[in-house]
Amino acid sequence: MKPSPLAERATPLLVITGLRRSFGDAEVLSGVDAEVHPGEAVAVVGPNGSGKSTLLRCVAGADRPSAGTISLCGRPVRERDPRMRRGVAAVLDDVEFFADLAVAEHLALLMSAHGDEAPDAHAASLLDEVGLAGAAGQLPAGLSSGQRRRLALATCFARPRVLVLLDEPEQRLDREGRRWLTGRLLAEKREGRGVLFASHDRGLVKAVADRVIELGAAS
Amino acid sequence: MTGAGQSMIPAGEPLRRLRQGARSARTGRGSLMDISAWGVPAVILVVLVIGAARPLVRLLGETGWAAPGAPGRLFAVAALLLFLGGLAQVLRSAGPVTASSAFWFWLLSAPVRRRDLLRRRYFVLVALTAVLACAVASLLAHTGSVSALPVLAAGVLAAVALAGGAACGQAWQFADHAGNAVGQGLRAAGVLAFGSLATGVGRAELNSVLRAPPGTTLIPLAALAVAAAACCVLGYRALDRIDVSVLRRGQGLWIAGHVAAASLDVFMLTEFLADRRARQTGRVRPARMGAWFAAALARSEWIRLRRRPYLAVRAAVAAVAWWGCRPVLPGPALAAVAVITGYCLVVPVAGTLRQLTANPALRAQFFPRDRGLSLASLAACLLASAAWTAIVTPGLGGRAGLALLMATGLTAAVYRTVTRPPLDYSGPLVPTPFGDYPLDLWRQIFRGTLLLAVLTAAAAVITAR
Repeated sequence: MKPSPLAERATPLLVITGLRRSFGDAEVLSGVDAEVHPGEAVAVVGPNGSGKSTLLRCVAGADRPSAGTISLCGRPVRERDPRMRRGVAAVLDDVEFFADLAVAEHLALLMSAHGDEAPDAHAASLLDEVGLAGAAGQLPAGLSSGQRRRLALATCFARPRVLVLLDEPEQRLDREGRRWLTGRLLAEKREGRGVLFASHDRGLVKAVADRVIELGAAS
Repeated sequence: MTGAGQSMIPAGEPLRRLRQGARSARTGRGSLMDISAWGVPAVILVVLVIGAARPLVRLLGETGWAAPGAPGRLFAVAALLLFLGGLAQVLRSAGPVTASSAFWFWLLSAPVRRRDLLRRRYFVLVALTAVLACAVASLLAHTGSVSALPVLAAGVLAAVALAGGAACGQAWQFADHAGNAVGQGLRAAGVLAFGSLATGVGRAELNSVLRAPPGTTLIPLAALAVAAAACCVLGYRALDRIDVSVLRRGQGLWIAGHVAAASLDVFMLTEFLADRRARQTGRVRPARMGAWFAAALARSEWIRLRRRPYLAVRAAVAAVAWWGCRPVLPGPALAAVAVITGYCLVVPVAGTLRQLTANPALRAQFFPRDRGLSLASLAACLLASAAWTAIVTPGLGGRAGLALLMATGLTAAVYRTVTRPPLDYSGPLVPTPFGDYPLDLWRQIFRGTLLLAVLTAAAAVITAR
């Protein structure tokens, strides 16, 4: 899938300026500035509680910053903005699935919803890529935690996007899965999309990230 | 470990006393404020129990709801059979004797006789089952205008037997199979009895057979009492033979039920059950979705319903039971039962809508076509409501206005219920004797159910006219 012209027009893709987020007295993010350009991957690293997930949630519009601005393709990020939601593919928390739809049906339905002309064939090919071809007929409840993670990541790559947001995507993946993830994120960059991801995996960060945002420890 | 050491099995009593001692030491030193924390709810609970028991006792003394000449005995027996069949299934799914992770880790792993540790849980289970059966049997006897004592005795004894049998089922596989067969048999017998009530085939004969002379009722009741005592004793003896994997089987259900009750959200329980069923299903043959999204939506909704055949079975049983109630219940009560049953049947059909509302991340994945998914789910709801309305309308006098009201009202009530947003904890808190609760709790309780109450009342009033 090619990135939309929106991504090609706007440079940089994502701009974060002076981002602050507090929970009561505790300030989790204190003045974060960052940019993500098309075809660039930016990693967010830091110890537990340093605000990596909060930063990604603010960018995805799932959380409101206490101060600062976030803009995507030159427009302020608002979760209710359809253009914003259309362009951002995010896997932040554990994704829920429909209990009665098989793995292949989930992806095919999602692709059909996004206007894919051959959703069943493309879903089969994506499942093959993420190593879930053998589980195509399985219901989500029967998947292992690693397989569920692979399916969640697959949903991210099954839809049109200009920016990919991933929170610790390497979690619960085996070595083969991490290798696939690295290749997939590099492909995202090659295809001109922006990638912002939080990770504890130094190997993944080193292989994929063009720049690293290091967040401090929680106070 | 020496031979003598191997033969030593410590008793569970000291361990339990130690645990109880720790609890009482913790609570015994409480201040006056601590006592008020549990004392006020306890007083309120006692008042509520007395308040509920008094009208119930008065109700049982009055004439029942069934009109004179109605087949009340057959109705009471049919409903009791169906209830006992359902109880057997619930007991089997829930464990029924269970152990939490903490209980398992700290106590059950110790070399202590398992029966000593599980004894109290087992007796509480049997007592609660008996109380539940007592309440249901009383209500059924009153509804059918029949003598309460035999129905009550039969219900309680059978329920106790089922509870003991279910504990046996945890220890021995053949007992589990037997318990399952008994549950299925009870449900089938209940449906057949309701079928007889609904169609009139053998209704008068069966109803008169059940009008046995007082002396002859004692024989089956005595047999039931023997069976209940035997199952109870066997269940108690089986406690030593239940292994940890079986004890932890029902734990998820208890946790889901507890969380659902604490959050006043029944979907937390139903989603757990749906997940458990899906896990048992394992692998299915994936259907092709196709490029046309509208067709893919219809197909996905159809697949979801097809993979839950129990919904259709439940609807068929409900339809037979409702028509079976018709010769016994007065019109307004029948209309109320039709509306509430319809609501319970249609809510699971709206699973897609519920998931999209509860999970913004899932909704975001499908954007901008998420509305299509919601609409398809709503259409499935409307179809299910219309189908249920079509089944019950002839029994309610065939009123077209009532049918229209019921079909649209049921869909609206279900829509309101399933699109309930998550509980907002950031709002103001209201102090209650049971702790501080967010004000938003009222919305959780009344959204959908208020509309259902209005619809039920409207249907009852229209039918009474």
